Amino acid sequence: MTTVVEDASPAQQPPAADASLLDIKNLSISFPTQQGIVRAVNGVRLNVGNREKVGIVGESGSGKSVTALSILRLLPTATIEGEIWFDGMDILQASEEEVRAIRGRRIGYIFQNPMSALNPVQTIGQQLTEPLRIRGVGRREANERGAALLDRVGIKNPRRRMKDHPHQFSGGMRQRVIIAMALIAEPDLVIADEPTTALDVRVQARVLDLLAELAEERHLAVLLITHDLGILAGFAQRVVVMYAGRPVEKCSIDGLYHQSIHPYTAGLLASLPRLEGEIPVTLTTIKGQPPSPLDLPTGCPFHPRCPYVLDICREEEPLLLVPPGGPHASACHRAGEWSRNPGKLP
Amino acid sequence: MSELVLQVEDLVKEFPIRHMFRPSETVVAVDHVTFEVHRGSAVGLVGESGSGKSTTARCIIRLLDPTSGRVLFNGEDVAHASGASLKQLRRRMQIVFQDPFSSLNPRMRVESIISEGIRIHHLAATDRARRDRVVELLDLVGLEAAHLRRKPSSFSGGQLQRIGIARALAVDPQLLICDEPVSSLDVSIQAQILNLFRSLQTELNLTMLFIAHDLATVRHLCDYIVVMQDGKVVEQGPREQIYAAPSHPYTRDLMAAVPVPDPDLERERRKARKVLAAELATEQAAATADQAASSA
Repeated sequence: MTTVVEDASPAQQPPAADASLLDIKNLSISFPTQQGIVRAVNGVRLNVGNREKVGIVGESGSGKSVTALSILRLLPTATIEGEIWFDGMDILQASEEEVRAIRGRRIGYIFQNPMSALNPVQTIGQQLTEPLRIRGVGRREANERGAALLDRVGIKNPRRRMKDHPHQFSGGMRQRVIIAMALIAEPDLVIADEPTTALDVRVQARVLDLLAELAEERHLAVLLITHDLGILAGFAQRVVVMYAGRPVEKCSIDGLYHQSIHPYTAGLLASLPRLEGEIPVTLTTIKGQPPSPLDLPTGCPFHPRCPYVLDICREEEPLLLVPPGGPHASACHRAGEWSRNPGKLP
Repeated sequence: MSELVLQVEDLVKEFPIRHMFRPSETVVAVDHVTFEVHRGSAVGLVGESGSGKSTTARCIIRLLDPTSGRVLFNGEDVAHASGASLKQLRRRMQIVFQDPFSSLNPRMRVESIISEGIRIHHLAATDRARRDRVVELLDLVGLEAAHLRRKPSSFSGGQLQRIGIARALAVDPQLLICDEPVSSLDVSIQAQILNLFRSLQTELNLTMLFIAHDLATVRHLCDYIVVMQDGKVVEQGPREQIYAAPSHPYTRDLMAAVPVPDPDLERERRKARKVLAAELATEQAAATADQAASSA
């Protein structure tokens, strides 16, 4: 009987892997600008389960970072519509108090640029332990936990390094400190917004591998925002591809690389130079450039660049749906056609 | 063997660091670097930040004076050029910079940006001829004559980089140095610019020195690779050799770190990296233990 009692202790039990932790419903974000209203995000639906690693991939202006920031309600000037549910609470309807209780505590955030995300005049120790100190953890215990975590993220002599300032750390080491800061309050979800773009490739690999390991060991869910299809491949389990503020394809990680049924995703994958295999004389490219959010095309936002464009694409915006017999959801009028031979658009 | 365009021989560049209360030190940014570039070839200079690849490029076009060693361009020592010969040299070597947003004058129109070099080097007899040449260049890089009167602010990153390339090509260079020319561009635009470089290579028989940290990009464009680390060349050779069988541990480490857009492959690679890291850690632990033992 004793074993049963132990098993029943909720604090010891990692959360079930399939339960939904973050649920974004029909999210739209717009900004007032001098040139008019910019619709940065339009109808994003996204779900992150406990301990799940989900990626959002898109180019600049696709709305991926804005989506991430809205989860912590860090967009004071934006008009946000839709719902963002986090563990039973609608973040968009919550009071400032309630959101503050979640920021840093239950949702950690890893910012893109390790050079500007740290305060240059405070020691690493002060910044790292701040989330704990604010919540009334004593100085000694906070320092203990800070040093232990620095040690875990691979910083040598953590006790001594706690007294150093950010400029005494290299870029990769700073990003490790920022990961430690995001994790110190033991959150359930970590949002990593281009966490390694500013880093060299070897450092990038180490930092990402570390993040994956920590997520595993601490039962974290991770939302990884990136433009790099390579990074995503080794990290995420599920992916949302964004284009011009809209989700255009939503699938498992293997589905993305092997069974894409959206011309944008397929075009991106085809345009990447590879480390192996034959070298093509010309890379397949996507013509043109991403649209300005101030001047979005009618119908499907990808239609001016799409090699498979039909008349309907210019008039009607496709919905993100799983086509009959298709492998996953795609916002393309011809998704049904692609589903006959997924991953191999003509 | 084809004709040599560029020879970098034992190039060293040191920078002094002056301290207020301590004696000065020197940082060796480029440490005895030697390589060659043949006509019509594309050489990739690869390394991480701080490896000295950009400093090497700056010494080649003499934006910096080397501390020692030589840079020979068509057999002529770049360091000894002055006056008219330096002006000629600068015309023959052109550079495309990393960030197109900050490397083009925002107040100048596209026509002036591209034609500036033509004017300075008197490469066109009349205004008419000059404009025709600019239109021709715009066409070559995939832009239109309608863009002539516009300023940089009305272009996207990819278009600006095309303008930067047209500007460099305007004076008919023999050697084009490209310093991370696609790393600041969006993924869907990078391939367009890479294709442009490829077509320029074949159309103009351009010789290129391509500086980049992205090994997949370099593999696509360059037939010869020079790998730099901490100012030194750790390995160099033809593309096939470097990518199929990298001999230096640093090159192998770099290759292992490149994220590959294929989930199965990338999961394998991560496992391999973990094993590699564990090996390195045990080696290091053993080394420190040895040190402790010998000092005791």
